[in-house]
Order: sequence, then structure tokens, then C-alpha cells
Amino acid sequence: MNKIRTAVQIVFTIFTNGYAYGFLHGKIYQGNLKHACVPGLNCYSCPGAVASCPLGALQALLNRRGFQVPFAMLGFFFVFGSVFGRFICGWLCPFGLVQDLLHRIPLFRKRKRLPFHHVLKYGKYVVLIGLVGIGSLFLFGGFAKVPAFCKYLCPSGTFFGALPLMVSNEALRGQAGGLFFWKLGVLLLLLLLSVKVYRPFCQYLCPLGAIYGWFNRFSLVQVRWEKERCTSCMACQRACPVDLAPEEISRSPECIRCGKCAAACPVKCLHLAPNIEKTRNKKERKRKWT
Amino acid sequence: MSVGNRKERGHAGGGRHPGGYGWLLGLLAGTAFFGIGMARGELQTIWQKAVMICMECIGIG
Repeated sequence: MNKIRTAVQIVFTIFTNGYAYGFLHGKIYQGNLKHACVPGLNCYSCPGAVASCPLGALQALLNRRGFQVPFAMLGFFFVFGSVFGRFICGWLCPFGLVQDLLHRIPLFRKRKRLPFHHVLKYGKYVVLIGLVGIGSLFLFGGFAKVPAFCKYLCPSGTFFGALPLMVSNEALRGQAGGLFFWKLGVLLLLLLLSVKVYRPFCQYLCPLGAIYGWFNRFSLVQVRWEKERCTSCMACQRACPVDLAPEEISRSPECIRCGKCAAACPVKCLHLAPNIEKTRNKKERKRKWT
Repeated sequence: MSVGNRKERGHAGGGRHPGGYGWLLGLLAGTAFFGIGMARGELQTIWQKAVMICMECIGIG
């Protein structure tokens, strides 16, 4: 399962960042595909990006004059969240892939969580409300509102956007100042931390994870737990990269649907499966009565 | 499977079934919101932002 997931992550990252011309010439793709967003955190200023970043797009809509409800992005999050939940974080997010790969480096004793996890896990909601919401509505650079999350925090923008562009575009390189080095510091800190702690950005800071996490409790893609078959051996919790107990997995906003619990379960009482049992039961009942 | 059995199966959160049709409602609501956004020209706003190098994203704006 883990190999399949890594393969999916790599293929999806290459597929959505496949504009090779951009990498070679320090430019970005400007075609019509950028009307659409990818589901994961993928900076639209990455030279290879062929679609838009959902958080960047949300902030672009919030940055409009006055306050207008960003219906298109609300719709986008409802559609992808309702179907996939945080499966997107586990399987389709390029920055998640980067952190996953770094965590495999055999350095340091690995930790699933940071100390004070029970408090720090709310950081992503603070970032969502404070930087993406309030920041994008009320922070101004000159006369224009600014996308505060992209500007002050987003490590994906620095990693996938700034670094490749600065390597291949001398004019941009010359403009790097304090803000760039702040963002570079944030990125380096998170990348270093990823070697020891599992996905620190996703667990504690990612506003996209906060949004998709809300949908986890009723999304189509679910980890289903058959309680009556469970022997409480806790092999699933030991395998879970974010340390969730079997009764928490299905509804927890922290579960990224990586499937490691299902693979580790000796009696196969956990399954990564679609949430359509109710529908099937209704059909079965109808068939029984007719 | 009866309702009682389904409760006993005990998905997380005190044995509640996760969601049921919730995802379908979310999908329909999302499609409606997205349609409204499209009609209001929001995809054009997104495109206009996405085709320019985002100075904030790369830390020089």
C-alpha cells in the first residue's frame, strides 16, 4: 500500500507540474488550464505548474475589493472535500510528498508528533482563520490587499515556486530581500523538522488540511472499522503515522487516509473503502422485500 | 443489516456510521456553489492571478 501511495504521489506531482519549458526558462505556464485548481498545496508560481493552487485562488478571491463570498472556491472545497476528505493530503499533495520522503531519511529517532500536540494541532485552524481569512481580507500592501498566507508562511511557494524560479531567472534573484529569507527560513525549518517528525506542516500549520479535515467525518473515501472483528491489538495505532486509535481513525480530521492502519491490521478489520454502505443496504433491503 | 446492527458495528465517534449521504449533499452543494462562482466570473479572477508570477508566493512582493 505504501509503495502504491508513493507512486501515486510522484506521478500526480509530475503530472500537475509537467511544464518543463517553465523550469528551463524561468517562466510559468499561462494557459487556460490555470482556470482550474489542483486539490493539493501546489504553488501556481511553480514553473512547472499547469493549474492553480486552491489556497492561492481562495486568497485571490478574498483580495478583491470589498468583501465578496468566494463561491467558486467554496464549491471546489465542498466537491473535493466531500469526495476525498484528507485523502488528498495523503495521496495527492506535492508538499506532503516532500515531507514523506524527508521522513524516510534514516537520521534521528523518529517521532509521530511534536510535544504539546493536543494544543499545536489547532495551529492550522489559526493559520486558516488568521492568515488565509482575516489576513487576506484586511492586510494591505500599498492600496492592494495581500494574500497573507502565501506572503508570510507558505513553504510550498518557496520550495516549488521561489527556488526553481530564482535558479533560472537572474532578474528575480536580484530582488530577493528580507521577506524571501524569512520564507526560506520557514521552509528550511519545516524540511529539517520533517526528517524527525511526521509531516509537521500538515499536522500543525496547513490551512488546506484544516479545510479537508472537516470533511473527513462524512467524505466518500473512508477508513472503515469493523469493531466486532477488532482484537484491540493496536497494530493499527502503532502503524499510524499520526498515532490515531482505531476508534478515532474514521472521523478524525487528522487522518490523511494513508492506509497504513489497514495494511497493518492482522484481522483486516480496517479498510480504505467508499462510504456507500448505507446505499447498498437500502438496495439489499429493497431486493429482500420484492 | 438492521439499524441496531449498524450501531453495534461501531464506527468511530461512539459507534456512529460515518456520514451516510453527507458526502453526496456536500458534493451537490459544492457543485451549486461552483456554478454560482463560475457565473460571477471568479474563474477569470483566479486565472488572472495564476498566470502572473506571484511575488508574494516567492517572497519578493
